[in-house]
Amino acid sequence: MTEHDFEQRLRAGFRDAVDKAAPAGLRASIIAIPDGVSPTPQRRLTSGWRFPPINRFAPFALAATAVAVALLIGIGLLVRSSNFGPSPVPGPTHTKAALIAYIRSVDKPNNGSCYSPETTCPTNRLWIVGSDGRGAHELFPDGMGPQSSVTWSPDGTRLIYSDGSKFYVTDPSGSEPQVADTGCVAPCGSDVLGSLAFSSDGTQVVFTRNFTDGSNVIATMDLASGRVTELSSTAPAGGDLPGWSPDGKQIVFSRAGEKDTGGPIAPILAAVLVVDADGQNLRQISPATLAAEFAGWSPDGSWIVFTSPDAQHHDIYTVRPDGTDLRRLTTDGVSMAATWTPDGRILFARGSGDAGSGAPSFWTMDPDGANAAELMSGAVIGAARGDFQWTRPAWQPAGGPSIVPLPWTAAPAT
Amino acid sequence: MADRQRVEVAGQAARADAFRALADRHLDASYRLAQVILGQRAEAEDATHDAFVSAWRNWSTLRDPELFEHWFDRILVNTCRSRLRHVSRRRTQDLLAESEFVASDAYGPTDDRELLWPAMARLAPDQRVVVALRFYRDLSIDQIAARLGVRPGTVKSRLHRALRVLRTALDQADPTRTLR
Repeated sequence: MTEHDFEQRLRAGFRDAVDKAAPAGLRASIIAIPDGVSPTPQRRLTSGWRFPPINRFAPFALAATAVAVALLIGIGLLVRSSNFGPSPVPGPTHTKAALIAYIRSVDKPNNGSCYSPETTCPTNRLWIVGSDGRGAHELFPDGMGPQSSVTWSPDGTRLIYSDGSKFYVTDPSGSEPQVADTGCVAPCGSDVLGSLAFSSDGTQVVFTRNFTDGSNVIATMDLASGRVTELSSTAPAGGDLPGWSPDGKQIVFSRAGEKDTGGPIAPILAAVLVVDADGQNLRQISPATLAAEFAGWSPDGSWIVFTSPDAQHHDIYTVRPDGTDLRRLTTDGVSMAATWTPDGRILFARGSGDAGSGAPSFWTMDPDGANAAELMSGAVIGAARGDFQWTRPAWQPAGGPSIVPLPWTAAPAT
Repeated sequence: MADRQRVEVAGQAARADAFRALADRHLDASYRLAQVILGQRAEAEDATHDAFVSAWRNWSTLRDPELFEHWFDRILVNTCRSRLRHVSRRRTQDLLAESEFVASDAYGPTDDRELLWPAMARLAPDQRVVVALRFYRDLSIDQIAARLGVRPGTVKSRLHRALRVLRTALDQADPTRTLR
């Protein structure tokens, strides 16, 4: 068959296979977009609901409610000061326990923000919970859009997250998010498809830059000068979830593989790679025969933890930064999204039920896999199956250096 | 209501009307393109919807409604590419197994389509995009380059590699079929 015939067959194949008209529900949903979606990206919405009309009894009802609330608060304070029974469950900002930030799906009202016949959309949102399991809550409960890529500053006072179009920096109470500009201008298409991580001294960030032609590169930014450096050795594939070595001299990241479709073309497995911070010396440290992603450098610099996924299972491994001493830490097939606690333990998500089909819970274990124990149950964190296949939790550090205050002024990339 | 507010409200209504009219006119073609790139109807519906949401949010950047198709194609392609990137990480849900275009009774007996979609699933996201724009939209190399904001040479090389993968996959899948 000639090249021309082959191309004509492709045209015919596409033409015959696709639906000619969009479903009516999709059309209705799109036509309604101007009614339900803000013309500017939503960050933190104030109440989107109109209050009902006030009737003549409303002022009395409000006064009665206020009195009741005041009485309850007073009683609560008395009970607390008298040590009668357990204290009220405090919000995590009131506890001395470190916080864990994570992304979980939440049902949000479907006002056109997703195409679905349902009245709600499952939406990934930023949550916070104390490491003692107390006070799990959505950081911006009034918000509607998806959030991702949550990371702490080295001193644990700032959180950085993405809403899909920008990075924002806020504090653990969620007050006054500020846009974190990483200087993405054409041909840069987006800096927020991946995640962002601070160096341990708080002076630099690393992130994945996506170009309009679809290529990617790992990039760093010096926060004081705004200088962005694209590590060209990592292009065009780039990588996911980049993070720094504790000494700030190297960067670890993972790179998605190509799917095994069971055909004649061998799949390319996801891999963990390390590159010097100046872009030199790029090398793969995960074995060529083992899929590897979600890499993170231990606080003491001696290990890199990663998750190995295949079609049905996820397990956690560690390896030395030079690619030696590979160790498999879990064998249950439902452990994933591993990251480090500031004191050098491993925090990870573990599925429950048959083959991990139930709600995931948070676990910790030693760097060698010993002393694995559940930190908090799936009921506490409220995540759904699959929530931690794309994101990982982040444990709040303490006592590290603070970051360069915003606004950051990004300079052209070099 | 002050005059200024009236003008703003009228402007918002006009913008919404313009968006609805253009969305209605281009929806079917956009949905078809998303199907070719993504190979799955549900993904195509989601991507098309997300792209129109993005278009509305960035409506102020569309200077000339005559350029809507070019402008929106780029948004749609980027949305599809982003979804493919995520799908490639969802190993528990193989895109091939999910594809509704493979051996469906709705399409009658086994034919070229049964071979085409598994072969498409082997392509990288950028390769799928150029294949869809070239052989479904029938755009020229230069037109594709302009829509994607890349050099014509980049389009050519992606297309070349994509066709090589498609030919290899189709040849080995079933040498007796017509799509060889």
